[in-house]
Amino acid sequence: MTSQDPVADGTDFYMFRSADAPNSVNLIANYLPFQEPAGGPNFYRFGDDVLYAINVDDNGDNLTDIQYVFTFKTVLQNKNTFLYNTGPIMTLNDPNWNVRQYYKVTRRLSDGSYTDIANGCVVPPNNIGPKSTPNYDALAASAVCIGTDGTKIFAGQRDDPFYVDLGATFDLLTIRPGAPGNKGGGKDDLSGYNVLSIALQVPANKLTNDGGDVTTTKTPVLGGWTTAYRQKVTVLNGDGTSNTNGPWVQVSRLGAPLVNEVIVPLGAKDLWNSSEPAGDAATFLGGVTDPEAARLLKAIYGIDIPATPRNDLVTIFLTGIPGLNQPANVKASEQLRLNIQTPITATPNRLGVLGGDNQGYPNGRRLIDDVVDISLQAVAGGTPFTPPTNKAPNNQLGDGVNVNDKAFLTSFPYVASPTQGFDHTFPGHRIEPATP
Amino acid sequence: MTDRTPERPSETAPKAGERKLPGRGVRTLVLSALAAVLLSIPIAATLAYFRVSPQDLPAALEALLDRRTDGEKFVATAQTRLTNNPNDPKAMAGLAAAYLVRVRETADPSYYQKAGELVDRATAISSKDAEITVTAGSLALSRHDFATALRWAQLSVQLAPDRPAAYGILTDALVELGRYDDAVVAAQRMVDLRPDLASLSRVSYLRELHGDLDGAIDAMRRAVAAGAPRSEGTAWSEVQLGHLLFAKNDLDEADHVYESSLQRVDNYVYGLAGRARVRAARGDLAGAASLYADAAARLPVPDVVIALGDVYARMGDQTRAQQQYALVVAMEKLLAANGVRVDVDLALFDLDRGIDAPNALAVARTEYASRPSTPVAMILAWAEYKNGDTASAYAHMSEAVRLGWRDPLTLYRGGIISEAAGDSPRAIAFLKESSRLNPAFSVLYADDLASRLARLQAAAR
Repeated sequence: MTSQDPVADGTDFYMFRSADAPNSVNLIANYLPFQEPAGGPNFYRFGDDVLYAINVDDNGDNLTDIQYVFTFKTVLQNKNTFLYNTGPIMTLNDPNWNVRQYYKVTRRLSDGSYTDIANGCVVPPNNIGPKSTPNYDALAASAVCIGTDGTKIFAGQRDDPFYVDLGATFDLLTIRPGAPGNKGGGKDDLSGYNVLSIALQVPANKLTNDGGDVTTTKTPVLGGWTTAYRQKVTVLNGDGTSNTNGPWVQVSRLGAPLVNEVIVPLGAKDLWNSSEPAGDAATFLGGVTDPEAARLLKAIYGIDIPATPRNDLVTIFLTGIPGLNQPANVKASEQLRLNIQTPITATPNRLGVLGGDNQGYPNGRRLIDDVVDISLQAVAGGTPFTPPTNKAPNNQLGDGVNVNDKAFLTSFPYVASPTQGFDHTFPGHRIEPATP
Repeated sequence: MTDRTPERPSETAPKAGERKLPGRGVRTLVLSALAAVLLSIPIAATLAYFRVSPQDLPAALEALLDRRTDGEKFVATAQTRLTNNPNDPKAMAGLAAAYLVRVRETADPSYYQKAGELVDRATAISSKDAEITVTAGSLALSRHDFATALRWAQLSVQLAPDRPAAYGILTDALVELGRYDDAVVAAQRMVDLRPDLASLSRVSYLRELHGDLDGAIDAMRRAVAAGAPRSEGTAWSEVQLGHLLFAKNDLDEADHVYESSLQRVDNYVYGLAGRARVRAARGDLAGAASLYADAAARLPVPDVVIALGDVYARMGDQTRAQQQYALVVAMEKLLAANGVRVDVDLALFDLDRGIDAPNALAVARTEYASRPSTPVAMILAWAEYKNGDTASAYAHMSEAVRLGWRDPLTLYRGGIISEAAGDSPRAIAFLKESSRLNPAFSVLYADDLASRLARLQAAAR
């Protein structure tokens, strides 16, 4: 499951409104998955040589209108030690904390103008263990930064909110015995692993095309996705010198979940990661209208699948659903699309729109949304868009994992605190083995 | 976007250093000693020891208990895929690629056989899919069949012009065939497509071969930063970074990155050996011997055992030095008896200790015929020099440094060959440059370099 470049490889992107801040939109992007809590805190941090971005298309024209760029810088308090900390970290300026990471957030607009909305924000320490980071939740909460435009900002380690039975789902969709598989019994392969999140809670009027807020805007559908960039280098200059300050190259792109599995052809991952939404219709339309994943489901289960071209999937992945999350005059492209005027559901349904809960995926994406089951059912045609195949087992497919292993927070940044490590890298105190 | 599909080991970053030290033999991911200890005591006590909270129990246990190497995980996933799709050529290539990872981990050549059969079957069904041709190219590289690797690489690039992995094989094949201008073009394309561990480590190696040590260091730093934090591949690249820093005598920084590699992989043998090397360069021979001995006890790869022997020799402990050298000779015989091609770097070991020089020359010639890279040209030059063929040695040495390669040991040998060939000015230039880069480049030869340089300079006055 390991990506070759996990530090700059987005794993998940979320976009939703929440009851405690109904006039804002939450945008969360995750990087660097599979962090073992006991893996040592020194290595789980953002790349200082990576730009992380959250992009918003505010009018459905395929183009980035607003971009929030996160830039990180690691600072060692004491260069002579490898130790992450030399004692408990009680506050964000605790002298015991040696390896710190700071960041700024720049808001860029399509006309080229930009503003640093936050500078000098602190990434909280990793959740090292009970000795090193005893009051972790409070410590992390104190790292929430407020931007000059009122945006709430957080960047740091979290529990990976994605839940899936990887073996069952992606060993070529070999769902665990007992298909259709939505009866539980799956194994959440991401439970206990941490991830790095960048999160924004932006006042809605900073995002809408007409500047209106949630109730007044006439342009309520926002498209969003996350990208990451690394800098190009020249292998050799003619004079034997080298140049390492080239332009930035996009190395990761992620909007809706599981796009890699559903619509990007095998072997086109690198192309996808370097692409922009405006080119989707030309490059990736075939993957949407005739996805290999659907043929696999048919071959494995012998189920009927809808005939091609799959215009139902074009709606779900490329344009949004008319009357729900399709912007006026939409140009087809892959983005996560959220209608910010959809009322907030008091008791969300994990199957989102398919479960009759219009505030969930694919209308944006909440942390609780079971995107694996939703995607399996959508690819199999088990949705109202394709009535002939909207039947069992197509509309019951799933991986048997229905909830995350940890409860989400009720306020920003919503993603649960990371699983605590065992403190084995902190030598300040020796922990005596328990007496049997 | 992270690929949540099973791993594609064919795109794993090849190890730049492997090209420098080809077929170096055993490379095993060192198992965590911590996990080994844990497994020998009751689980309940273990959890109590670490104060694992009950809610994290299953994941914590799984993380502790899954001691499989990356390669073992690759193989398991790929086998499942092939079992489910027995006639799928991509699934065959996937398992072949996983076996190649296992070769790196175990040095068990029987995996080549298995991988080869799978690749043959896969390419017979379809040789028009980049998934398959990239794996075929990787296998050819592993087997040092560089002409075949180049053909698969060129086909892969045709089939998938936007795929960095295809340019990775192309770069490697061109480098080994000594076609550096073409290699630079391929690597530039690769890094333009995606600056990551795989592409940046190749950029670093090309810069190093062209004499741009600072540029090589910069690129390798970026490569390490772009690697998966706790992977052996990243640790390997970090050790290469340490070697580059060592070459220019930045011992503090070299030690720092060797130490960092030990945080990525517990007791990482190459990181331990790197730290030992720094200690030796600082004159702490006892400390170096102790670290080398620790590394050699964990994984007795020839490089480490030779280095340990050299430190003993330098300490004047000839008995222990000869014990280590004898172990290397035994390993050499064992490898040969098992049909593994004798490492060309072992030819250097033999040459420097007067073991069967004619055979070492034959090994170097064979290697050079299939692989006319500048490092191999240098080994051939040294073999020719040790066999008394100074003219050929001088020619091949000149070829080896034609790009501006500035490795202290290479420059030292270049100086000796130049002196033997009567080219004192060049000998002085090489020795001075070697000394300028790192006067403590070798525990065995640093003193000889200094006295040789003094003698040549005195004669030139």
